[in-house]
Amino acid sequence: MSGSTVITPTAPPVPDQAAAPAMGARVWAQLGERPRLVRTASALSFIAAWQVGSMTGFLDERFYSSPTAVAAAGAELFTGTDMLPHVVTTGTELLVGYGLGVVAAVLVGFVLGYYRVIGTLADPVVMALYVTPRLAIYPVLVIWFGLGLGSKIVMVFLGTFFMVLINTISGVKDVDPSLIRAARSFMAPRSFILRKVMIPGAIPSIMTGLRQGFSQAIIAVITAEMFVSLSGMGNLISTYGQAMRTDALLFLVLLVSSFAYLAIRGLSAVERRLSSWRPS
Amino acid sequence: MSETVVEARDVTIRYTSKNNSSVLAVDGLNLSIERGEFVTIVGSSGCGKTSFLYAIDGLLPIHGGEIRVHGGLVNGPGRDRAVVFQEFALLPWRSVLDNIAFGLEIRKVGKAERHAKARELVDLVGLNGFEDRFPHELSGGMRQRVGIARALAIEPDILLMDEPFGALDAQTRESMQEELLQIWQKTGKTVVFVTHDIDEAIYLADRVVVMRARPGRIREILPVDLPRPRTIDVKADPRFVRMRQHLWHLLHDNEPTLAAVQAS
Ligand SMILES: Nc1ncnc2c1ncn2[C@@H]1O[C@H](COP(=O)(O)OP(=O)(O)O)[C@@H](O)[C@H]1O
Ligand SMILES: [Mg+2]
Repeated sequence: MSGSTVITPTAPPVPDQAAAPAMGARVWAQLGERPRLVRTASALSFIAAWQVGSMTGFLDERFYSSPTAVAAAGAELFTGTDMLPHVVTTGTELLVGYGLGVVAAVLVGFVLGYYRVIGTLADPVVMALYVTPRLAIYPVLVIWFGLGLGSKIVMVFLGTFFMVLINTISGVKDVDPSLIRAARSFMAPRSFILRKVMIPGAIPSIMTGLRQGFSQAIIAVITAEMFVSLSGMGNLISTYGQAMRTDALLFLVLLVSSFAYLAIRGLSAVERRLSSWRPS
Repeated sequence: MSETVVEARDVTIRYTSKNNSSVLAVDGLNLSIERGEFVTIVGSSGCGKTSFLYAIDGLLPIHGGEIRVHGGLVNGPGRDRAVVFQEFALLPWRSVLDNIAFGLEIRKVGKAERHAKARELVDLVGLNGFEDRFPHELSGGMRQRVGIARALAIEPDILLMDEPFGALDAQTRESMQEELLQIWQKTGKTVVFVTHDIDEAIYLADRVVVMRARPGRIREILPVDLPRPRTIDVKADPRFVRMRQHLWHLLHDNEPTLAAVQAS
């Protein structure tokens, strides 16, 4: 609302009693239509409260740090050379594990979704592995694949694989059977049905898997690195944690979350594009 | 001279369900259809109409008897037949034009050629201006126009239509019926048209095949000797009214009366 509006006595007549609540309701409704504004306001007030809290001593800065301290730690980490090798380690683990996981899961998912008998046979195994807390087997993975990249790549791979697999299987199974019937009626060979009916039909579901798989991948790489590792963002976070460097720790967590958030936003955008034919 | 294009002899179709019990969907069905004929099949839901139609197309195997199309035994879908599906079965990620060209693409017709052919059909079914739309942007009537165009695009001799207008509102349905008759007259196809709407069955047909359920069999074949070309006014013709009455009784006598249901 523009602040310069002057309400004169000749303004449109409004019933006096209704005026106040109607005004409140109107502002409320307008805020409902500006979610971005509301979100920004909420984030800013949180940061302000945090800053004020630590400046007044209400929050112990050793435990809770403060926005300015976090920002300073961030500047220090970015200008120094300490962080870069860790970024490279985590990035490599993420890229390799996620890439392999996606490719393997889509291929296996098509086989399990397409061939009903194999799918039914594999179902209990897939489900059992899907619900297994993967961190519990991590110590064994370290023994098998080493303290370095290998064990993290396998963890990322597993996290990605099952998410993408489950979604690919359901995507393939849920392809409208009447479309397959129509293709068969026009004498389509199997390869055509696969390429032009099954794959496009399963894509929205696969994209959902790619998005969910990516959040799993991030969680997997950071927790694994925090647990046992030689380097990586998780390793750095746990080092700063042990040194009680709350400011640097919070900055790194913020950095990882922001990266994950942006990547997932990107994947969502691709997902929406590829699913635009779906009636909303 | 008349020439038989579809010949069904003693056709039996069975479904085996998970608990190994089997349903006899169609049992001992005999029917011959002549070239250029418009045959409608009516019957209550579940009496085997779709099963029989799919068997003619070769989508569904039969368990007894035989079906011949142009003299050859049916053992799978063929170039001379195309189906218009009750549920439209359009690829939702394809534009109208690419849906119409679907069958041609399967037949490896080049892109330019199949789009040219698809454009002709867009004209025929009156979808001009909608070529680049997606199925979810179309009304039910328009979606089924795409379904009809897709079937006609491969130039089949026989058009197999499974309750194509079943999902449409009454008004759209009537105008689609009229347009279908015009297309049929223009193209001279043989049409097998399944419906459970008695008026639709008589209005369109040269012959109405009445089926009865459990097991699916032919109850009667009714020749429709109403003049063509027909318009909606034919529905007021006394002969039309008599046939409608006759079919109504045939289809409803089959079902248990309310009293019988209550007594059991
Ligand atoms: N896939 C199927 N599996 C088992 N039974 C089926 C299947 N399809 C149809 N049937 C049964 O076969 C009978 C005929 O079905 P259908 O041909 O679809 O009839 P209509 O098209 O006349 O409604 C019905 O009793 C139906 O329950
Ligand atoms: Mg049916």
